[in-house]
Formats: sequence, C-alpha cells, structure tokens
Amino acid sequence: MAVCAAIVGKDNSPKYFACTNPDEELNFQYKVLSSLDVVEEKLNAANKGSDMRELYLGILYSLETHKIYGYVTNTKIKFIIVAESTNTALRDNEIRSMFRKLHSLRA
Amino acid sequence: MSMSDDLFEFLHSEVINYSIQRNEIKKKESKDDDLSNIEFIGFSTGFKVIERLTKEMPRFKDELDTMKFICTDFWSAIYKKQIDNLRTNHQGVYVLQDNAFRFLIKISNGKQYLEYAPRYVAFTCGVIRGGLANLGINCLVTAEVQNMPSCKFHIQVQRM
Amino acid sequence: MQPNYVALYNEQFELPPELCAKPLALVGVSGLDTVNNAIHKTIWENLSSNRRVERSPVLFKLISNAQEFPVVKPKRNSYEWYIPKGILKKNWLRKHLSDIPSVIVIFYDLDWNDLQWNEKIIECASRVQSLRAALEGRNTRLVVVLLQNTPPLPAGEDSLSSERAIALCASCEISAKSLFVLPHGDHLQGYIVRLESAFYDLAQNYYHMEAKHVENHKEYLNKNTHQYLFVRHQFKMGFLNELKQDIHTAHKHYTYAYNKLLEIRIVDTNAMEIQTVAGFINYKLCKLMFTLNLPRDAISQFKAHAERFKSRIGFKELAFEHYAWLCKQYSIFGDIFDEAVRLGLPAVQTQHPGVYYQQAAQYAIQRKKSCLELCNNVTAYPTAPDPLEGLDHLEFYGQRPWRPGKLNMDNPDPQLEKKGIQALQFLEKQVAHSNVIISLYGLAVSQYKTYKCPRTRRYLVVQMAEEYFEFRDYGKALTLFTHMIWDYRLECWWSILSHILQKALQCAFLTATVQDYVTISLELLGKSITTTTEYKAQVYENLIRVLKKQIPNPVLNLPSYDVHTSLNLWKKVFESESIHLTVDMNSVVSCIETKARFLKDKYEADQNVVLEVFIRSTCPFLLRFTRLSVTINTSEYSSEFAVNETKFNNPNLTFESNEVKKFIVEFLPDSETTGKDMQINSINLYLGIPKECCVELSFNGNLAVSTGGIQEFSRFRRKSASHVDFESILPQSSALVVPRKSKLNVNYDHKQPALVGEWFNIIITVSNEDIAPISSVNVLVNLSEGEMDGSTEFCLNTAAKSELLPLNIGLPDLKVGESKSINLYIRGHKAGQRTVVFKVSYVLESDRSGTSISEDTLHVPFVKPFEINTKFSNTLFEDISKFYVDEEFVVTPIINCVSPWPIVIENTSLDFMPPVESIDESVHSQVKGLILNDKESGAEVFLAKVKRNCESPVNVGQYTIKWKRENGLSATSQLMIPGFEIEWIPLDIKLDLPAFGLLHTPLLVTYTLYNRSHQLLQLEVTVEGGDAFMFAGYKQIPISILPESFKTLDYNLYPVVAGNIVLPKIMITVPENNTEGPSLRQNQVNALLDRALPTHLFIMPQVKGSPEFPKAIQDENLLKVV
Repeated sequence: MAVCAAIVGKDNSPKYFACTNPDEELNFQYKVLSSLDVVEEKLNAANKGSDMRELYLGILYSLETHKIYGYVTNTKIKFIIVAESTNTALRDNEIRSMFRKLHSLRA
Repeated sequence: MSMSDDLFEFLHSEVINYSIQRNEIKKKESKDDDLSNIEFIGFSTGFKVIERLTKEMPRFKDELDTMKFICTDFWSAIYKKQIDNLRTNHQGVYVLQDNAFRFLIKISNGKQYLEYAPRYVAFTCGVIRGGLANLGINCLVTAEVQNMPSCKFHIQVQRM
Repeated sequence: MQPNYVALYNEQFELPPELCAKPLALVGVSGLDTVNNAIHKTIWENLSSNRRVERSPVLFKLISNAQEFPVVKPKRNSYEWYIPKGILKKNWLRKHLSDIPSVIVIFYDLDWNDLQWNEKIIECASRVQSLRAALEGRNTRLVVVLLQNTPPLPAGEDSLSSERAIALCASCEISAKSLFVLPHGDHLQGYIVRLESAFYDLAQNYYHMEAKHVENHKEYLNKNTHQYLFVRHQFKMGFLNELKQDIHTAHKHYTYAYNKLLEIRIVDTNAMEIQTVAGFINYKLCKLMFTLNLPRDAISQFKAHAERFKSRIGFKELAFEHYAWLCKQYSIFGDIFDEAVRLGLPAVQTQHPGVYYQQAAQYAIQRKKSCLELCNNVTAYPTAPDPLEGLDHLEFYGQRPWRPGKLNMDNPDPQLEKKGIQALQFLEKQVAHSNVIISLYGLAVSQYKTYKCPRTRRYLVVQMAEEYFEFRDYGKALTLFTHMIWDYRLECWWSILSHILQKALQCAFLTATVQDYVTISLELLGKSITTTTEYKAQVYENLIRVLKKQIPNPVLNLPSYDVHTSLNLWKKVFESESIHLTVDMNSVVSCIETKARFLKDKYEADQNVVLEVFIRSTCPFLLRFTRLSVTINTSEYSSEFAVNETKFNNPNLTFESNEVKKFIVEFLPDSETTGKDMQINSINLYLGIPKECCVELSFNGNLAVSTGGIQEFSRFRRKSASHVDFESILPQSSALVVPRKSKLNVNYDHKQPALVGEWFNIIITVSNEDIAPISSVNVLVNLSEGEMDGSTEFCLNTAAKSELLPLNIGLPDLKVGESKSINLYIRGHKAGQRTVVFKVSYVLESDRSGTSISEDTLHVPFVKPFEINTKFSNTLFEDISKFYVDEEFVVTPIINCVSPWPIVIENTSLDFMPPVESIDESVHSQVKGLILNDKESGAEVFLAKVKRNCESPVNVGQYTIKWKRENGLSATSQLMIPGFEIEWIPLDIKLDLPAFGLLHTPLLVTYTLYNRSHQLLQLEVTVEGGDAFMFAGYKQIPISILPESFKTLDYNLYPVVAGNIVLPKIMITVPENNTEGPSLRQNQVNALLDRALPTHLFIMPQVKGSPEFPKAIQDENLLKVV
C-alpha cells in the first residue's frame, strides 16, 4: 500500500494530499514537492522529442525509506504516490493501476 | 442518435437563446450579438471535458499530434463525427473543416439564415480553446461559415 | 583525560591519509648532496618536481647514507600456532607508501676515465654494500647511476667504459642491467625521464614479486583461525598491485578481501573493527571502479555495502558511532563520485553526489539525536585507569584501546568496558554535530542546484536552516528561511509555508528583528496559512504588543536561555526613540490585500483624477490602521495623497475579519503632468502610532501571487450584490493625463479645390468662446506624415519666402468673444490631396489647468489649372515629326483649361533654346488677356527654325504662362516644350507662288534650289504639267548648283481650269553613279519636295459683268487684285 498520495495542479500547487500518518504529512509534502523536480525534468525530456508517451513516469526518487512514483496527465495534472522502500511486494504494474484509478476518479 | 445527444443539442440551443435574450435586455444599441458569454461557457466545458477525454491517451508528441486528437477522438466524443479536413501552415495556424457541422445541420441550407450562424459556432470555438488551453496550448479560435452546414475553425496558436 | 583525545576521537571516523593517498611506486634516491652540490640539486629537482600526468607514477624519496629501514620480521615457517590479533595493521600501509622503497638509486660521480678510478670504485661499492646491509631481508632493488661529465660514446666503441663497467658491477655485486650512466650536460630532463621509466619498470617488478610473496602465505592458512589473515593478505595484494599501477588486479584482490571480510562472524568485540575495515575496502573498491569507468558497479557496490551494515548498530550505548560511520560512508562516497564527475563522468538528476551528501546529512542528524539520547547524562570523563590509554598508538585499525588485539572469544572485563563506553560518550558529547550537518547540507545543496532540482534544493536549505536553528544561530536560520519562502508561496504549498513561517517567526523573535517579525506576523495572519486559530491569536496579540513597543510574549517551546537573551535584545530595540519600518508587501501574501484602480484611463488636465482603493483584511481579528495614502508617480516626480477619512464618509480604517473597504482618492493633476502617464506607485497603509512604533505597509496594488486558478474562470464567479467583490476587481495602475479640450471656435475659410501652382488662401478665424480671456494662442500648421515631399509650400505673406514646417503662428491674446483671422497660403506643385493639420493651443488666463489643445485636419485637393499640348507643323501647316536645319516650322502651344474656376491668362512667352531660334524679332503673346473657362482652349503660334542638326530630340523652349484665378493672385506656370530630332540635307527648295491665279491669265512661279553644302550639287529636274495648266519653262534639265549657292527655275503657268487646281509636278532626281557631291538620297529629296512645296493653287474664274464674290472672300486685298 502506498503511504501517501497527492494530486498537484498544472501550476504545481497541491490540490489534494493524503497520507496514512497525519503526523508525517509535512515531511511527505516536502518529499512530494521535491519529486516535482524530476517530473519537470522528465516532461522537458519528453518535449524535446524523447519517445516517452506513457502518462506514468515510473519511479521519481528512490530514497532510503521511501520510493516516489509519478504520473502526469496530458493536462499537466500530476499524481504522486509514495510507498515505503521496504514494501517490495509492490510491483510497477500495481503502482500503474493505482494511478489509473486515481486518474479515473479525478476525470 | 441517442436521447442524450438530442438533449445536448436542445440544451445548446437553449443556452444560446438564453444568452442572446439576456444580452438584448442588457443593451440594445449594439447590432452584433455579444457571444462572448457563450464562448466562455464553451471554454470551461472544453477545459473540463478534455481531462476525461485524454485519460486513456498516450502523451501527445507535439502540437500537431494534439490537433489530430482534437480532430478525431475529441470531435467524435462531442459531435459524433470526425473533422473532415485538417490543414496547417506549420507555424501555429490550423484550419479544421467540418463539412456537416452538427449545430448547423438542422438549420436550412442556403443564405437565408447565414447571419445567425455565428451564434451556433461560438460555443464550439470556446470548447476548442478551452480544451487546448488545458493541454497547454493557448490559442485564438475563430469560425468561418460560408455554406451551411459546412464550417471552418481557424486555430491560431499564441506563442509566448 | 588526555587533551588530544577529542582530536583522536574525531580522527577515527575519517579515512586514514595513507589509505586515501594515491599509491605511487616508492623509489629511494641516495648519494645526492642537494645542499652543497649544484649539479646534484638540479638532478633532484628534475626528479622530484614537475610531476605531471605523463611522467611515470613514481614517488622519489631522498635517502641518507645512514638511513634505517623497518626491520624485517622473522620468517614464519608455519602459521599453525599463529593467531592474528586484528585485521589491518596501522603501520603497514604507511610502511609501503613511504618507508620501504621498491628501488634504491645510488648516484655516484664517476667518469670512465677518472684518474682515481680504483679508489672511487671501492667507495662506490662500499656505499652499495652499506645500503644492502641496511635493507637486509628486503627485496628492494639496488641501482647505481654514474654521474658523468662527458657525454657517452656509442655502445661498443668505448672499450674502456665497457671494461670498467664490468669491473664496477662486479665490485658492487649488481647486474649490468642495474648500472646506469647520467651525463649531466645537455638534455638532462630527457635523460632523467628515461631513467625514471627504467626505475618504474624495476619498481613494478618489485611490487609484483611482493604480491606474489604475500600470495604464497595462503597455503599455510586455515579457515578457522586465520579468517582475519585472509582479509589482510588480499588487502595487501590489492594495495601492492595499486602501487604497481595494476588496478584491474588490485580491484580483484580488494573484492576478495571484502568478501572474505563478510565471512567473518560479527560479535560485539569485533564489530567496530570489521566495519572500519569494510569501510576502507569499500572505499578502495568504489574509487577503483570509478577509475575503471564502472560507475554503475561502484554505485551498486556502495549501496550493497551501506545496506549490509545499516542495521548493525553494535553497542546500543555507542549507537552514535554507528551513525557517524554511516554518515562518513555516504559523504566519502559523495566525494569519490564528485571527483569522478570532475574528471568527466556524466551524472544525472536522480543519481549524483548530492544524493549521498543528503543521506550523509540524515545520518549525521541521527548521530546527533542518538548522542543527545545517550550522552546527556555523561558529565565527566571516567576516573583512572584511563580506558583510552594508548588511543594514539593502536596496532590495528578499528580496535578498542582498552582491549587491543583481544579476539572475539575473550570475555571482556565488564568494568573496563563500561568505563570505555563512558569515555567515548563523553568525547561524543564534545562533537559539534550541527557543523557537520550544515556542511553536508551545504555540499548537497550545491549538487542539487547543479542537477536542476530547485525544489529539492530548497527543501535542503530549509533543513539546513532548521539545523542552524538547533545550533542556535537564529540569525542565519532566519535569513535562510525568509529566502526560501517565496517559491513555496508561488506554488501555493501553504502548509509548508505555514511551517516555515512559524519557524521564522521564532527566529525573528529570538533575534529581535522587528522588521521580519512584523512581516512574518502579517503573513501568518493571512487566510492561506493553515495554523490553529489559537496560534493566530497569539501572533496577533504579539503584533499588537510590538506596535505598542511592548516586548512580545515568547511562543512556546523555545529554549529558555535564548529567550532570556532575546528579551534583552528587544528591550534595546525599544529603547530607541521611535521605530519606523517600511514593509514591502508585494513579496508577501499577507492578511491584507489591496487593489487600486483609476476610474478612467485618460483624464483631462482640469478634471479631478479619481482613484479607487480597495482593501481587504483576511486577518481573523480586528485590524486598525492609522493612515492610508497613495503614491502616484509620473516620469518626473512622485506625490503622495493621503486618503481623507472624514470627507468620504469612511469613518475609520478599522477592518473586521474578511472586511473589504473602498476608499476614494481624488486630486487635480499638476499642470506639469499634462501629456504624461500617471502610475500608482504604491498604496501605503500605516500601522501603529507615528513616533512610537509605526509600520508602513507598501503595496503596489496588484496581487503578489494569484491564488485563484485560471483567470478566465473568474468570469463565472458568483457575485453578490451586497458588498464589493474583491476578487473580480481588475486593477488599473496607470492613467494618462491629456490636455484640456479646447473651447475655441476655429473656422477655416477657403475655396476648394486648390490649383497647382497658385498660392491657395485659407483664412483661419479663431474665436474665443471659452470662459475667460486667453493668451499664448498658437496655431501650429503641419502636413500629415507621408506628404512631406517638398512639393508643398506654406507662407503667411505671398511676397515673402515660404516658411518651413511645422509652421507656428502666434496670435494675440483674445478676450472672451473676440476673434482674430489670419491668412495662410499654400502652394502645391503637384496635383493630389494634402492633409493639413492645425493644432490650436492656448492658455486660459488665471487658470492652473495648463494648455488646452484642439486639433483639426483639413483635406485640400490640388488640381491642375490647365493642360498644355504643343503641335508642330511646317510652313504649310502640315504636321511634322522632324526638324530640318534651316527649314522653318511652326510651334503651336494649346492651353486647355481644366480648372473649375475661370482662369485669366495674363501673359505668355516662349523662350526658344538653342539650336532652336525664333524667326520673328519680337514676339507678343497672342492669348494675353484671354479668360478661359473649364474645357476651353487657347492657342498661339510661333515661327522657328533650327540652326544645326541633332540626332536626339531637342527641347524647343520654355513656355511660360502667367495666370490667375479671377480675383486671385497671379501665378506663373512654366513648361518645357519638347521637340524632335533635327536632320540636315544639302538641298533646299522654295517655290515662289502668288496667293491665287486667274483663269486664262498667265502667272509666274519661281523654284529656287539652294545648295547648303560645300560641294557641287548635281541634280536632274523634270517638270510634268497637268491638264489644268499650260506652262512654259524647262521640262527637263540637269542642273549644277555651286556650293553655298542657289539656282532659280522660272515657269510661266497658264491656268485653263478654275478652282483649286493641282500644280505641275516638279521632280528632282539625284543622278545615279554620282559619287561626287554631298550625300543626298533620293528619298530625302522626295520628302523635301513633299513638305516644301504646295501642291495646289486656287484659280479664280474670269469675272463676267459685275462679279459677286462669295461672302467668305470679302477681303479688301482681293478686290484690289481684281
């Protein structure tokens, strides 16, 4: 299970933020915001013609404790999911389908 | 055509009637209809609906790729048909031609009602503009009706 | 406690310098007296300095004659009873890096032909022997280098040298390969480079053998008792291979060493040693992998290494040691990575040195936490016996000084163990953790900046600031916090912003920084900030206190000792007379928002400028301001307008929560402002009491950060009629001041269209219909842009010169109702429209409103008054298309009037231009005084001839017409009349003929033929009579005309018919085959006859009885003839 999920608007402002442990919310906010650096860079690369057509961006940051995954819609709405690094059971495909669900819920 | 599609058309005409009437109450001196409200309704519609319509789409390669999407999937979702002709000068101008535009097809052909045509394309101009705006393309959209029910939409991309 | 313990303690977390040094083959240099001998000194300098990459990887070391080398340990034949006391001996690396040379070079001054050869050879041998003795048991190679004055001869040619070389080798007991010669003349550097590469070869060989030697121990080892030795030996082989510069093999051995190390069971007593050694080997491995261009392998080696040891905390009481170790591992890897990047390794956004520095910082924080937890109660160093005795000379890396060399099976002495732990805890407490953390953050920050991670960088800076806070450097923390706020604000991460602001407020409080304290408080009270209402209440209360010059209440959870210091600081701040602060609110999203707009974008100079100012407070509590003003800027000056509270019925500047108020500022623009832009520079709100503590909040009237989404959606926001909708107000921050509108009546009297060439009169009448007398009345006349091509002239007086544009006409002062006219004349030289612009400006007397201006444009069409066509004909009035020299012709200019006004022709003249000249002596205009109406024409004729031939068309002359409109001014139009080309022929002919003949009455005609050439002209003349005439004269005659002479032919004609009768036809033929005489062609002659001779003559009938002439011929001359 993911420990934190966030929706970030096209202006990079947070639109929705939830995490399992409310005490950690601020830390997660920092982490999610930091991961936007990677999102931005990936989108830049995509603009420059690298063939990255999938909305799911894969892993953004792999930290000691957490892994951060990203997904960006065509309208530049960003979905970010944070999972614990220890959670090795979580496969890429599951993350992907979590993002799909999030996107469906929002659209 | 399903019930909901009919309702969509009815709603569209009523929105236009309502807007035009309201404008007439507000000020009579101007000869041309003030269609900006309708255009804004279209804009917000397009802005919102694009989110759902692009859900299953891969990321767009470039501007042209986005325009192709507007002509095919996007147009089909709203107007139940695709754009018949897309042309571009590759410098930010795109011309989308619909030979049987849905909001004009129920109006009698010929020149008689040609002067009312702008009312029925304003919403769509807004829809295109809103949709593209949400995809990060800011543009001006104008429509040109010469022979009903054919309609050309001119998209001019604003580059910063 | 010994004073150097703290340094030693800190040192133990660092990598030892001998491990980090670049391994270079060590070469000893002996026999060089670098102090007294200049040559020796040069050689040594050449050897030791300027060691660039292309030189061999060798380190030279000077060795004195009495040098002692580490003693060789006795050879062990069996390891059976040997139990190692640790893994890596501390002295081994240094020994091989700097104490035991692989090669020793003995320099000796000796030429082959040295006179004292025999003595010297003995001395040299003894030197070699003494070094050999000192190196007893080592495999160090000995090499002799003879320093010679004479350059060497080619090998084989110098029998003496080869002979003596053999002798020298024999007496020194070295092989011939170990003897070198160094001539110290020219090319010293080149010789030395070659020598040193030979030494390097020997050194490599030495290290290879040494490694082999270590490897040979392997067979004696057993797996139970010698696990440490496996690691030690592999490590040694790795290092020896590094010295040999064989990094592939070195990498292999280090890998074995690391794997062997992992096989050792870790218990409390050896945990630290194993971690330490693992760190060393890992360092070597990662560094080599980066060098071998295997960055991925290096990263995964490091990750596995860190992962493996992460959870092995060891002694709970010494957990900080573990975190210190982890921190060091990460920061070291960061360094290695960074060095590799500097050498050209490309790094990416998600994998760069900063990642490791950041993690290192995290572990440094954990170390600090753990230290706080574990060492808080340790207040003193343990009493004797000192458990750390011998800390500075431990035999092995990573061992505890109170039980050195103890193996895992030993039972530690619990008492001593406890003391040791206490000692270490005491030392840990002395460490400046924050410095470590901050510097690691600093390293990470600069890396993240390089790799385009602005947000991550910002996060790190915030963490750094928090560390500064913990470190009690509140000033730095405050600076860092306030610098980071902006971007979080921009991207609307309000909870992060709230958190930072709260921290920053604490800093501002602790440092008594009033400015920041007030700014931050105002922002914290804003609607976006997500703190509790209680907290906001506290902030609010403190803000009010500060405004009253009272020290704010400290917020909870602040360290009490610092609070005390800060209270003193505050006291000092408030002791000063008055506090006046200006806060730039544009960079803050605070609880007060303002918007301002001009109601119009243009104001006339005498109108009141009206400005609306909207202020909204989102502070949850009552805010009371003392003053509100607006600063307006123009390009020249800025002025401040205070909002008058009473006048506009806004009794006070007190705002309830979420209240929006509208204020109106009204003022008359300064007369200087006319024509310029006014800008709302700032809206200034004042908090607090002037001269006590006053805070001026300065806004620019636009929102700093748009908090709403897409602008276009604001159109649909629900509007409530009851109060002002703050969101939907669009600021308008600038307006133009335009001059006052003119109240004059300006009349332009003129008769269009104007005629090209005439002075066209416009009468401008200015009547003062304004409210007061006016002065400085001015009419500025100009043409519109694009018509300034010089084809239009202006003047006020046609007698004077025309004026330059723009034409400024000053008028006298006018009383109310008075008017004044001026005449303006325009002359156009081309047809077409002119747009004349009149700008009338004046100053209203006794008024401050400045100049009033009105502008009019007049479109004046210019048309041609007439067109002139010119016809040319010969004397027979037949059209011609060519002039002939000396042949007369007629010029007929025709004036076609196209003016809508009648035109009076005052005079005309035609001035012929050479080669054309007039026939008549004096010519008078034949159309003088004529009045031409539209579409009427007037024509006159002039006789002229040309004097010489010309192949291109010539101009006949200038035709000048002086004309005017009826009642108008005279104008002169001139026109060049173009003619034809001119031909010359040698022959001319004239026919003398009466005006008419009478039936049956003979008449005489004479043909005169002129020869105009300088040669004899021979022609044949034939005359053919017709039915109408009988004639007498030559019918056919050849004639010769002398040069410049003429000949006449007379004929008597007898008309037999009346009427207009064809004359007899004269034909002149140029004789064929005539090569003499001027060139004359037959067709030229024919053309001449055609144009020069009349063809008909009118013959009157004979009068019978009394004749009655037809009315048309009532001419007196006619009657006379009859």
